[in-house]
Amino acid sequence: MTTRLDVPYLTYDAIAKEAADFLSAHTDPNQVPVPVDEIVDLALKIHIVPVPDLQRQIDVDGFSSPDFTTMYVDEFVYRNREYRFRFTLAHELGHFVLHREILSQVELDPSRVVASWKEFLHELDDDDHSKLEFQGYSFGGLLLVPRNTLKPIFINNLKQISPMIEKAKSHGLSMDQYEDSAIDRMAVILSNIFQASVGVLTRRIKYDGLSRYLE
Amino acid sequence: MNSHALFGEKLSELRRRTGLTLRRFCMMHGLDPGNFSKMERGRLSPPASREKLEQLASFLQLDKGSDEWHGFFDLASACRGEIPSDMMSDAELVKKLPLVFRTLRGQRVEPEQLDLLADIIKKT
Repeated sequence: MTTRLDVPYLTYDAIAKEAADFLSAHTDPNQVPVPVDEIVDLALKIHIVPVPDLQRQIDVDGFSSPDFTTMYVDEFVYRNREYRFRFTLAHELGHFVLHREILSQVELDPSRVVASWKEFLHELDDDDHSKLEFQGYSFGGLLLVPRNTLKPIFINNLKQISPMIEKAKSHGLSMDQYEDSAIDRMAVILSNIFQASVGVLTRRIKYDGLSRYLE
Repeated sequence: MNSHALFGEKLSELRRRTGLTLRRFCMMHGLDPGNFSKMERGRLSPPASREKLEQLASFLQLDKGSDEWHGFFDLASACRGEIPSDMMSDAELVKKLPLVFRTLRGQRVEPEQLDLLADIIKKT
C-alpha cells in the first residue's frame, strides 16, 4: 500500500521565490550571513532542541515536529558544526514554508501512535518523499545563500581567483578544464562569508549559472 | 497548563526578550542548552537553590525586586513539590513524531531505528 500526499512539483525558480519572500518577511534580505537561528528561535518562536547522539543512532542531523513548534538537532552538530547547524535549520524551514499545510493533513491513529507513524513513513510514496526532501534541501541552500546577495558577492570576490584563472589560461587550458577548480576556490571563499558549507556554495554557484563570470 | 509549563513559557519569553537565541544565551552564560531547552518546554524543574535562580534572573536581565522579578520567583516556587513528567504521553508524542526526514546517506530509516527515534523524542 502506498500513501500519497500529492506534493506539488516546484521548479528551482519557484523555490527561490518562496525563500526570498520568506527572508524579506523575517529579516533584512540583504543581510549576510542570514540569521537563521534568530529567525527560527526569536521570530518564529520555534524551540530548537539539541538531541544527544541523534546522528550516530539514526543517521539524521535534524527534523521538525509536524506542528512546527519544535526542531530537533543533533547535539554535536548543534554545539560544534556551525554551518551544518545553520543548514539543518534552513532545510527544516523549507518544510515549514513549503510543506506544513500538506503535512498537517496527515492523521496518525491516536490509539496506536508509533505503529501508525511507522506505517505512514513506510508507505509514503517514493516520489512524494523525494519531492519533499529535494524541495527542503533546495530551499535550505537558497535561504542561506540567496540569489540577490550571491551574485554581487561572487562578482566582488572574483579578483581573488583571477590569478589562478589567468595562469590556467596561460597554460592553454579552456574554461571547461579549469571551471570546476575555479568554482571550488570561490566556494571556499564564499563559504566563510555566507556561513554555509563549501558543498552548498558549490551547488548554489552552479545552479545560478555564475560560472559564466569565470571566463 | 501545569506549573512547569507556565514557568517554561515565561522563561523562554524572557530569554527571547534578551535578543539571544537559546544557543547563544547558553554559550554566553555557560549553561547546558539541552537542559535549558527542557526547562523552557516544562520538562525539567527550575533550579531549586535560590542562588542559582537569582543568577538565572540576572542572566535574563530582570531588575532585582521588580514585579517581574517576583513573578519569576513565584512561578518557580509553584513548581516545588511537582515533578515534571520525564516521559511524553501519546497525545503529546503524536504532535512531535516527524513525518519527513532525510538520512545523511539518503536511505529510509529502518523500523528499529524508528522505535529508537520515538523513544528519544519521548525522553527529550
